[in-house]
Amino acid sequence: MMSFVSYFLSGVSLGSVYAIIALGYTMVYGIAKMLNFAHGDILMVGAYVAFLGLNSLGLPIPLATLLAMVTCTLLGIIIERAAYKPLRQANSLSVLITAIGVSYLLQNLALLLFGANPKSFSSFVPVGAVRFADGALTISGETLVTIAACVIIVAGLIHFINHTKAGQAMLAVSEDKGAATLMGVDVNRTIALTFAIGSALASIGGILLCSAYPTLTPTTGAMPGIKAFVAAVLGGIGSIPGAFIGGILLGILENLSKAYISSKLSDAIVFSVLIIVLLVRPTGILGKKIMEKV
Amino acid sequence: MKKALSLLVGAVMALSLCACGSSGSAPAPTEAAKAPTAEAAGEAKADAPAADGPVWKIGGQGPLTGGAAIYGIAVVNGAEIAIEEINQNGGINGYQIEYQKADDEHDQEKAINAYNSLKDWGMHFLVGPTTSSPTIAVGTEAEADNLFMITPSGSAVDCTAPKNVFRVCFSDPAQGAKSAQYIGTHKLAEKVGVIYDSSDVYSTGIYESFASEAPGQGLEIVATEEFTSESNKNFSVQLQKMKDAGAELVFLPFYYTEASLVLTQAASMDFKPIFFGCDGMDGILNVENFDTSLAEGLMLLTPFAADATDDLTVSFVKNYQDSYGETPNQFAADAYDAVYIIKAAAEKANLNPEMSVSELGDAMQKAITEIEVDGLTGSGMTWNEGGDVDKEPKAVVIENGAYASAE
Amino acid sequence: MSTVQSERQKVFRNNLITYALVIAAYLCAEAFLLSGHMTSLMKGLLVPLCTYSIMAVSLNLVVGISGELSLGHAGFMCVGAFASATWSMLMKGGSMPNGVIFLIAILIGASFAALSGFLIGIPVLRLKGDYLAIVTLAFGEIIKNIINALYFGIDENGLHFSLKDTMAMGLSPEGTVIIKGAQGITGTPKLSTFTMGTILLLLSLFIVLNMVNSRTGRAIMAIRDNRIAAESIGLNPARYKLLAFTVSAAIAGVGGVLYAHNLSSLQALPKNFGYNQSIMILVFVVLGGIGNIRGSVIAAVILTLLPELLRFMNDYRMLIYAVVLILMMLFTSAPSWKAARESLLLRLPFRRKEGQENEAQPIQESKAPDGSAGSAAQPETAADQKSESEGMVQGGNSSGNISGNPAENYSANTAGNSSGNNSGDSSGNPAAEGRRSMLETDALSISFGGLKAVDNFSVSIEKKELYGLIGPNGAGKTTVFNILTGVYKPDSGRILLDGEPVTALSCEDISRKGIARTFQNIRLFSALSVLDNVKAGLHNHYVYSTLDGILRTKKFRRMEQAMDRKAMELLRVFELDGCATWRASNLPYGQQRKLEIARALATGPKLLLLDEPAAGMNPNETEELMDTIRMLRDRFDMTILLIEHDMKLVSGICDRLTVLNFGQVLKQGNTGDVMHDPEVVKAYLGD
Repeated sequence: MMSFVSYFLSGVSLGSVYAIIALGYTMVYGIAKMLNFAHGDILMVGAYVAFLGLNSLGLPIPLATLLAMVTCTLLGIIIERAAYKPLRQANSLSVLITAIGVSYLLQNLALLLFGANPKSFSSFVPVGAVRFADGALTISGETLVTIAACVIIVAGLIHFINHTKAGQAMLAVSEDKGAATLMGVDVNRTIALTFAIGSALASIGGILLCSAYPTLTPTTGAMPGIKAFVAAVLGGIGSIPGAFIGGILLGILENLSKAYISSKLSDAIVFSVLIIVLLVRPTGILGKKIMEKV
Repeated sequence: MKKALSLLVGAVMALSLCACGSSGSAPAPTEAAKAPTAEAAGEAKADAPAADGPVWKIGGQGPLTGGAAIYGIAVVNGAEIAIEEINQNGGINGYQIEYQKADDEHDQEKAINAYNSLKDWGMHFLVGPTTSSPTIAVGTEAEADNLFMITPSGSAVDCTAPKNVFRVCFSDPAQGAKSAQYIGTHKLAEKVGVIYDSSDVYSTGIYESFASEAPGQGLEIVATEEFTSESNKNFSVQLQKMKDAGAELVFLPFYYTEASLVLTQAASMDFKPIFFGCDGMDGILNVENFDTSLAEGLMLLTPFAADATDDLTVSFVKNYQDSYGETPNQFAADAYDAVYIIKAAAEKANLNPEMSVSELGDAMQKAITEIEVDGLTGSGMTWNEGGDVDKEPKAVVIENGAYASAE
Repeated sequence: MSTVQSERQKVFRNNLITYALVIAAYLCAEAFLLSGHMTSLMKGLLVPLCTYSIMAVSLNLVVGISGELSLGHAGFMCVGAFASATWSMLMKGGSMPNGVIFLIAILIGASFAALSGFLIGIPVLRLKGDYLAIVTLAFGEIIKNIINALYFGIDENGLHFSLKDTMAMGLSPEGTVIIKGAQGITGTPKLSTFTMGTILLLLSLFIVLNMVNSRTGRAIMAIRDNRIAAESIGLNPARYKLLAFTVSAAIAGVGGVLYAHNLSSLQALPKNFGYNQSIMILVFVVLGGIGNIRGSVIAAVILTLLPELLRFMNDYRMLIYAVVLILMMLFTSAPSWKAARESLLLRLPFRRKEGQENEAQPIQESKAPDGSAGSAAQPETAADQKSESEGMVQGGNSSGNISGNPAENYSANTAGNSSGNNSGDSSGNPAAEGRRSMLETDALSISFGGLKAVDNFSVSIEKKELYGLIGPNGAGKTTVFNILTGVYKPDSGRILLDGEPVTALSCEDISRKGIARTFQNIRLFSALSVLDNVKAGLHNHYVYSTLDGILRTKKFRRMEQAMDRKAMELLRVFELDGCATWRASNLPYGQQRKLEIARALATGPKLLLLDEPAAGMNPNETEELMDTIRMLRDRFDMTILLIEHDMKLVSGICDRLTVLNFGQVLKQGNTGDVMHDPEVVKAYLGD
């Protein structure tokens, strides 16, 4: 029983990281209608900046976090302007391919700048582990903070979207770009803002990911990026609560299948469950049901 | 649109055909052929004073980009250090060495491309590839060319199946079996758990031989858990299972990148068995910013230790740090040794770069079985015709953040 | 007919250019090989170039032709590679000659991949866009994961499997391990050659190009362009999507066979069979032009060569590659860059002809029904038409019956009166021959989430009657159409077509039974030519198999010719024959409406449903439309049910009317009576 709780909690923790990354995916998708495959690599950049800020510049943890967020925000905006914006009118697959190009670019740039050797990331989480039942169950500080951060971010985002002008503009753009323009919404600015927020979230995701799993290499972002994409789709891409639920579910699923079925085949199991979920709910758990009007 | 593409493809074709035309198919290290080959291969890395006469051309290859880049970069760097040293000391049989590295991205197909590009450059010997699957793929090609090849770290059994392929590291089964024997004879534990990377050739190879050797050594494998390259961050489940199964020792036959995560997570869940690793574990102390106290008590079988105090290791580590700003791991050491092994064999057979690749290949295959080399990764190393090295692994234990002999 | 012929020749020529390019590249490479002027690097790249070209062709069939996004094509490649390599390992050292081993390996690789393509294709039927993409991505990862866990060996007792490790297989000491988990297969015989690769590439091109330019391809593309319209003309989306997916997977499997037999060791690594590889193949397709088969082959060649040619850049190689990839994408796809490029190209001496500019749009390969081709179609002479209508009889015979449609009458009429639809007055005289109901519905009801959209709808329409369905917006008129055509299943009620029950059949079956429709918001197969739109409507009447289409059999040629004739005949009725080769989306609005009707007629219906045919038309166009509708009834003996708001049109042509309000029948009867009913007036004008 204690093992189960422990599997479950570490699943929730892993899932929270997926969820934070998935939020960025889902927001960008909802508004720009593109899969930003470079999202995982922005996460990696964020983690490197935070690492350097803490260890090379000697910044305190909040400042290093802030530095990572600012860098990623700028990076997100620059990438959007330079590589995605010119393709906004083009076929959606073109943007996807460009995003892949950006992903390669960031990975190889990081390889040249930081080298291939892994860096051990010092935890950004100042909270110690909590022990229950004489140490039979240990919950690490990272787990607690990650889960808390995820919940706060989701709540904050929902509030932002529903109760601020910029958030409403985002909703409008995601519904109908043309109409939003007519209503006086600056579509370019809104999309840039979305990329900015998504990238800032990615940097937080990167810091939390590396705090919990402290190895940092140029390819650190690749797999979590894909998993987060899966999570976003599982939850219903474009939906913020969906990304949250999808991320948490994916994390739990991954851990429990490792624990109770096979650690060797856990990837296959997780992906099979994903396929089954999508067969039952073709637009994900919270995805909008698209009814084509005849 | 189509036209633009056609133009582009035309240009690319023309370019590649030009490349075809300029560098001949047979490596002819004469003055005439030098210009175009150098052009095709870019800057030749060895910085020895521009040799006028014939030079040795040694190629190095491994993944220089992508997830496995860490190993490939160590290999090409380690080889480069050795070549610089040899050049400063007069080369091999009086001939200087030129060095060229190629990226194989840890992919069989790309590995063959990398090998072919080195062949076009006029390579005499190959130090590489770094990882097992590319080594097997390239070995077949090299066998057809009868090109002498020594892989620093291709550890799968099949790597050395071709007659012209030799290696510096242990084979996987040898490591697995030796680990089990060591644990058994030193009575480190009876209940043993294993975590391994089921998507990795190296890791599964060691696991299999360990698992078949273990019962004979009085070891009971109480838990076996896997992970894959797709989910190699969260080890809490695997560790929990080890803990629940009461494993006194956990065998970790995989690389230190993941191992550092395992150690961190084990510490956070208060699980403190003996951890036992293989040569891939070497390097864990040099992960930037790693809390080495987590690795306290970790045992590993490794032929190389970067903080060993013998002169050879000290000077190698210093050179490496000066050149690349990092502490070398076992891959770099293997590659460094590989170059010296080539030197020893070439000197034994009294070879020169004017000979054809195939002649060199024949001579080297014979010579390598007749030499004995003292290197970073072992002293008195000898080779059998099958391509495998005979050397003893050193068991070390990490004490106070440094290796200490475990004997 | 010359338009059609020249169009077919254009397709043929275009395909020929593709084959010729491949053969020329092959000969060129062979020449360099034989003269000893090829670098080892290039030599080593020859087979991979073929492999990736085949993969590009394969994926383009799914992404470009079928319009589905797949991110798991490396998975099919993986299946093909491992299945065929296992076979070759089993046969290794036996008495079978290598050539035979390889041929069987190809078949095995293709069949295993096709099987997995079929299985994973089933979700294709339910999912769209990014959701499908993620399922295919998941599939690729599942395959990789399973193969990494799979142990397979053989001994004198037979075959052994395990998902655990080598020991668990329980092989006898003499047994050999073939697949060793993550260590994969070692020692695969090197059977792939450049020649073999080129032949396989040509074969894949042959299959895909011929399939695209056949009945099957037309159906696949029609479904891609508009699934609902495709269903309404009797195409089965599930069947054709699955077919495209399976064929594509089989071809990808062949790519895998070629890959596996080019390397001595085969492992499923993230690099070769992971999602990265799938995405790389997608890059070929997108960069080469979605749906443009030749383009994707060229892109595959460029992008496979590029990183190798960049080797001299050493450490910066992949960085430069990434930058080049982004720039290429911007260069080929970004509107602003495109404009800059066009203006640059225009200044060059060898600039292209005008009118081909819109080729960059995702039109299917080798078919550029653009504006310029249409004008070439003008010199279509009366003499031509005459010979056409003679041929028509023949075509009609070979085509089998067009369910209940009086074909003779139809062809005689057209022959006599080829100039089109101003066929004089036809004051509505419903069915002189025996009054029999063509459509009878009995108490149809449907509700959506508590709202009764249609409640107790009963109507009876006589043969050759022009019947109007009117009512205020939201009254449920289109819902009635959707029930009649099988888009919605009624909660209760019954539909009889010509005395036959058709209640709750699938769209496809209802179309076969003889109900055709047009849509309120026009639904054409926008990327297909005008002619192909109509030919898609003829799909179920001129039947030949996919294999006939690929092999270009006699049957294929005969059927296609007959289809062309019949389709041109219909187009001529609507005066659309002049623009038969245009892209449907390039037609003006009014003509798009006509084309939709022509397409509906092509299915040979007994009952035609027109949903607001006059919407968006000016009074003149409406006048013309009224003539057309009357002509349809008179010349085709058609029973027509139409929804319309234009009262002038309704009162001008409808014999009888039903007025719907809030889903219920408000009034039914002769047009004049109903129109003046106070209740109806009230419903329309409010109180």
